[in-house]
Amino acid sequence: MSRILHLLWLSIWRSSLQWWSRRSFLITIVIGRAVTPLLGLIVWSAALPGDSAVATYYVVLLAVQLMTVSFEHHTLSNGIYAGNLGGELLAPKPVVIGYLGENLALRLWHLVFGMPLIVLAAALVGISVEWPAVAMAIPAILVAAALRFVFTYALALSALWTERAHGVVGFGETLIFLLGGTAAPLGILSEPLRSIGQALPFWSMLGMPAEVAAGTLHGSAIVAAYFVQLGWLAAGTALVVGVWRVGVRRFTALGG
Amino acid sequence: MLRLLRLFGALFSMSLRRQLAFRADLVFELLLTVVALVSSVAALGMVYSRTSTLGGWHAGQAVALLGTFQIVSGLRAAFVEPNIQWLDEQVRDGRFDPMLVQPAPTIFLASLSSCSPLALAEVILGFGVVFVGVRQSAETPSVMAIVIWLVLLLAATAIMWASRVLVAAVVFWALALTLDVVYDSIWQFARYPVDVYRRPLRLAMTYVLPIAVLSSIPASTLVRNANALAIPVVGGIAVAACVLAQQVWRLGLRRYTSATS
Repeated sequence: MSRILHLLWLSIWRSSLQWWSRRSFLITIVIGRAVTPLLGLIVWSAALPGDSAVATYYVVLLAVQLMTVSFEHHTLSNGIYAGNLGGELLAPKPVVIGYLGENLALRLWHLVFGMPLIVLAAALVGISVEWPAVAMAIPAILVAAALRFVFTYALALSALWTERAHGVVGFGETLIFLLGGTAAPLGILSEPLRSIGQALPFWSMLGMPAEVAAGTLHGSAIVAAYFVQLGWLAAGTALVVGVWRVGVRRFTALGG
Repeated sequence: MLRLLRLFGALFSMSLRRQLAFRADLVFELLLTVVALVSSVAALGMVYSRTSTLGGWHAGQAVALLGTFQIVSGLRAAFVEPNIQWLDEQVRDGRFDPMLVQPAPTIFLASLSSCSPLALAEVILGFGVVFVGVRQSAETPSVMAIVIWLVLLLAATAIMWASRVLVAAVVFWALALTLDVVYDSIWQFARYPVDVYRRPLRLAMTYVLPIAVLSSIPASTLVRNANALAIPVVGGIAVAACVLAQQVWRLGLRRYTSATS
């Protein structure tokens, strides 16, 4: 276990340095990832003027979005298309370590470069967060980050079957946008939309931690949301293991 | 000009035949386009489930605006992006060189030489969304309003092309700087009426960045108040943007010294 953790740490460190050397491009990606929560903030602030809860939710959502970004369609899928997977299968370490390390490094840089945006948005709309709520949201953010990685990783593995892996992941991201709490905070939607949205995995990846941190979710609702989140993480992990096992059997390395 | 149009037609035909050869991809792309559009309309529906107006725009008007945005976005995805998104890589690795010796303007070859006809599905669906939006609106647009909207749509397309070329041309001065993602991000602001944004942002999107002319102004003439004065104003902006893009492109080409020796 300590060897795996050491390898993961080395992967994070190496990817962090690699991405630091491409920081101007990285900043543009951060802007790209920040734009949908910011648009949500602007549109919903115009739709419900004076509703500080919605403004707070979207600023927190921006932070959660930057801490949970996943680019496995670029790292894993493109690696499969380029024929890199063959070499990785021979290396004496689990293939996922490298991609997980890069994912964590990217999230770290997203948070660092996105922090001015978060602070600026918070200052402009005047958010009010309660620190106990933020503390309660930290485990939810960690599980959401894991769940989003597992979800994107599973979709990115479609590169073993099709050349449209980017489209498959794009489809998944559309679902996260629509049902995950970016298009609208699920808490303000009417029933049964709200309950259906909260039971699906997309809200657990993004909107749920934001609602906990913003203080719009209380008591037993938080406990129930945690159970749903952990359930989806277990299901997602089982799915990704299954997809990997089936996919790697049909993988025929590219190149000669 | 006629020669360029013929060349454009031939290249479009070639691209269309290439895409139709992969039918599973065709179905998948169409499915993705429909899902993305349904998602955009649903997101707008969620907003209007809690309010009757957004920046003074009613639901039907905002749907018509979204459709207008989809049309221009579809034209961008079909004709401009399949070429211009590779410009920075082509300049970096020297693949840009062959374009300079071909018997057609380089700006044309770099920005319009191949296309993705499947993306035109977004344009067709966009017209459908505009139709739905107009049906939902209280007032039926006059024939004149529809004509003005179509002219403004053309002008918006020209502005889209010029602004995209301007952003891509940055590569001639800063090889490592890729602004595609930033352009995409700013582009998303045209999904909603420009009146939604607060004053400094709204002014910037009207007078500095061409966001308002991409969707808000054309849609406004169709479903709010048809104003023929918009034609010379937006048309003038379109002509100025195209001239600026060509001048900047020429200046960029003068700086270009090839990636190879």
